[in-house]
Amino acid sequence: MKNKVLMAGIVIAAAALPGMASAAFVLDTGTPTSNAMAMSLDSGDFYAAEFSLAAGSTVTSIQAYITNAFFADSPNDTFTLAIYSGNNFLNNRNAAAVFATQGSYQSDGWNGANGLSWTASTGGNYWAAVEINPPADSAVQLALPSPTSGGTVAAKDFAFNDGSGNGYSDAGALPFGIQVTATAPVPLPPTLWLFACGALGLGFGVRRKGDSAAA
Amino acid sequence: MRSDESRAKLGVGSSALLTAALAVASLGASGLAMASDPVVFSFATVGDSRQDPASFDPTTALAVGAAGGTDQASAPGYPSLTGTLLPQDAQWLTSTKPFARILRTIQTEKPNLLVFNGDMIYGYGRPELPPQLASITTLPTLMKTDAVFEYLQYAFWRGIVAPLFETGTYVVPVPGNHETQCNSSKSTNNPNNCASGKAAYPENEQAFLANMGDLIEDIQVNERFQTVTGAAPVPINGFTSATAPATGGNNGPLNANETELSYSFDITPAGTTTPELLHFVIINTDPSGADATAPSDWLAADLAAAKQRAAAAGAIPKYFVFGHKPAFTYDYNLVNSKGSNQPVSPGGLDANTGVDPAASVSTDGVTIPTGGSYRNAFWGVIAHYNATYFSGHEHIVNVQAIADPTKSSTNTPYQVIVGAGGSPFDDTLAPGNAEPVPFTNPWDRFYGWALVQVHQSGAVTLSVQGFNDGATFNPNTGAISSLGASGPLQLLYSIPSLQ
Repeated sequence: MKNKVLMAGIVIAAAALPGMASAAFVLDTGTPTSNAMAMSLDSGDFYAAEFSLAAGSTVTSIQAYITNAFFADSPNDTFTLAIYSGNNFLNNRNAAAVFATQGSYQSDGWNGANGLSWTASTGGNYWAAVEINPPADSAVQLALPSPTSGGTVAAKDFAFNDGSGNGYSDAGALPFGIQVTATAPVPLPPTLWLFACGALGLGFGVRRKGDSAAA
Repeated sequence: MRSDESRAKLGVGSSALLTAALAVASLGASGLAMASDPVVFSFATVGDSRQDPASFDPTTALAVGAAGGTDQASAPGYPSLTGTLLPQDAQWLTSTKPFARILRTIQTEKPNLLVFNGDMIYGYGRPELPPQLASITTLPTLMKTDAVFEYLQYAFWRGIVAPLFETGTYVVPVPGNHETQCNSSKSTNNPNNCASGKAAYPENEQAFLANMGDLIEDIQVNERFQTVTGAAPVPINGFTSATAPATGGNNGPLNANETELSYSFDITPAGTTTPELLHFVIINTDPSGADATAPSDWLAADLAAAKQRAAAAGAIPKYFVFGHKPAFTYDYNLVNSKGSNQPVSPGGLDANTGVDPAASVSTDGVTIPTGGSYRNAFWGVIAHYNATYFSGHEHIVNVQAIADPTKSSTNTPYQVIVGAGGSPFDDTLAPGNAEPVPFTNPWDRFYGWALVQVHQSGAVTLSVQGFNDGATFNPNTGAISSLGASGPLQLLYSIPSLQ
């Protein structure tokens, strides 16, 4: 009897495991090769990088490689991290973010926001943006070093918004360090298959015990 | 750290590269240091926002045509190398798009001052009551006479910079050659009443004061300087004819009153660990009678007095000098082996040869030999005080530490050229509209400005930021493959210890 309970527990645990999918980079440009000669990020100049996301994926973290350069921003100064749909994004002055949150600058290096839980309802290309939007954000000016190297999931494109009203443009845009982490959607059919196999095995075992007892 | 000997041997190009390399190496560490050393006073500086009606940079031209296009390369209103100058810029002769972006970013940085290093208007006329007035019988002709035309350009520029005062930045004007000189070769002159060539005239200087004088005089009357900046200015020299540069010697053969054209003032910032005296000096580098000169005798006395005031107050002096023309022309041309590209001709104070200033200039108890050069006299004084010199005139950004050519001082003060406020780039596109690659410096075709920050500790840092013309090009051939509205904002130079 103990064996049956144990087996049932294993089957249930196996069925549940796929739902605990681990987070992985969906965008990782790598670390900038230098802290110097950086792009300047302020309320008139935003930067974004394009990446793809499967339907049902949940973004859990966005980090940008930021230095304070010469602008003496303080720890805990905030900036905006936004996600835009890739459809009709470039040169669109009215593009609206599908998700936005605040990140905070702590020290030179990777800064951003963790513990996010935004899920993409449709798969496709998206843009992760780093912006300073006063008055909600307290940072005045930050720097995004360029170029980068050693990334694991390259950006499909980079774009910047110079605040002139035409939206983001990829003409002449430079790479910068940005990482987006997401969990993949739960692969439902294999889960069900595994659960079914377990249930069948359990049922088969019960039936054999019954047959033995009858004999 | 470079030796003095190696400093002296540095050429213009190599010096620029070394400066850039030093900036790269030091940026990370300095950034960390700055986070714990708050800024107590700061100023931005840029020059040359005027547009050129005939020789505008092709990257500032815009496509015209019917609405409805979606491709930036051909849509109306987007940059087009074969397009035309925006009518607004053609009429008021200001390069509004890059200049407005510069000002917008400066407003986010909220420096206490914006020192504008000249050439805010295209000018180049002779703004006087023309003797031919009786023959001017139509309103359009009257509106194009030099005086009216230049006053309109001044008014347009004043309107553009007006919002800075509302966000805590006071604008300090510097006269440039397009303001003080008349150029007989320009078709915009109406009627053309200047002598052959380019020369400064008293009428031009007075037109500058008529349109900028209130900003200068407010340093004395302080009607809004302190309310805008939070700091009280102390006027020192140049606000009366008695304290303005006098003719002769190393001031040059001035033939007009230079009151409020070259002037100086002090600011004592609050919140420093030790008392600091910030001394600001504005010089007219194209005064009437002495084009392409600096008033070095006047400057020598002015800086000596500032040093004494600081000593009496127990303060550490910092010297910032602003003029339109650079002392040392930055050579942005790479001379190739075929000799088809020539060095840039001197166009700053180094252009003034064949004149004979005084043999020496005296200041602070030392005698500096000029070698018969206005430039040497000027830089000898700058170097003695380890002052920083900011200029425009060349439509480019360039930062160099330059040794004293008179060898009177071992200091290597910085010359900061920030004449890239929107005017057509000096490093022009090659035939066929290709970028002039390789660049002498990667920032040679960037619009840019400098931000100087004085920190609580007394440290003075400089950063130069800018953006390019929006061109995406082949780095080997320079062929432009696309042209955006502008480029991303970048840090071009970072100097962690300016003085």
